[in-house]
Amino acid sequence: MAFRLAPRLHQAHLSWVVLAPAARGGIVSKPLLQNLLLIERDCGITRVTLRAGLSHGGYVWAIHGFLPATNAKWLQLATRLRAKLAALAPPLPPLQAQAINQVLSSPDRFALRAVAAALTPVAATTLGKHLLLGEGWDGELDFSDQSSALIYLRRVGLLP
Amino acid sequence: MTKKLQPTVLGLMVAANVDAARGRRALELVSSKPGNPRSRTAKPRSWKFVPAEDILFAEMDENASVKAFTDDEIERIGRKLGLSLDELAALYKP
Repeated sequence: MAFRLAPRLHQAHLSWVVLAPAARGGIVSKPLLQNLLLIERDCGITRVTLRAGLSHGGYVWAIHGFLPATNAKWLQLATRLRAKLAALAPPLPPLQAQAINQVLSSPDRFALRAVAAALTPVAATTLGKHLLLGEGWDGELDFSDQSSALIYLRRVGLLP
Repeated sequence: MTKKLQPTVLGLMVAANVDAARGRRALELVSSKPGNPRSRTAKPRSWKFVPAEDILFAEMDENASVKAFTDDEIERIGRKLGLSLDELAALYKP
């Protein structure tokens, strides 16, 4: 794991985390993220940034409460997601297509969560996973935002 | 009397990062049983890492029944984005 702390700015940047494949099942990932959170708390960190990427990061970090760092970065991502959506074959049914297009047209970065959570079946997975897997975006987790903090705490097993 | 701590995956990873050779030895120790003559010749496990994102994603699939966000959170975002109830149901309750 590599991360940088900037306590004066109350910020941290998570560069990368690697684990042994045997670490599946929450036996390592959750304690690791919980302990990282303790370090961040002790250092007064209120904002964690990262590059959500690789094969799964674009989806995984969205599910962990991270958001695009700015609304402008969300709009860049949304443009790529719209192109992916347009290339879907077969296309989505009209109601689902209308709904997800409305989500992708939003200028609000919180719309990322509405994309990630989309459960419409697509190509043996969900629409949210299909759109976000393989994507890369600059993200941040702002612990001063209650909804983001609650999502993260639930994901790392500190809240039911 | 203090009980000797058993190695954990995390502990082994730390050991491997500090000293790769020591980490490999530690892995062999974990995979063997004391007194088993075959363990001395056991082939060491391959030692490779994967991005934590892959592990986290796999864990989500293993708990597929766990929703990404609570229903309240989805409804709140949906209302904020102007989705109708039909659209919310179409995307999140297929």
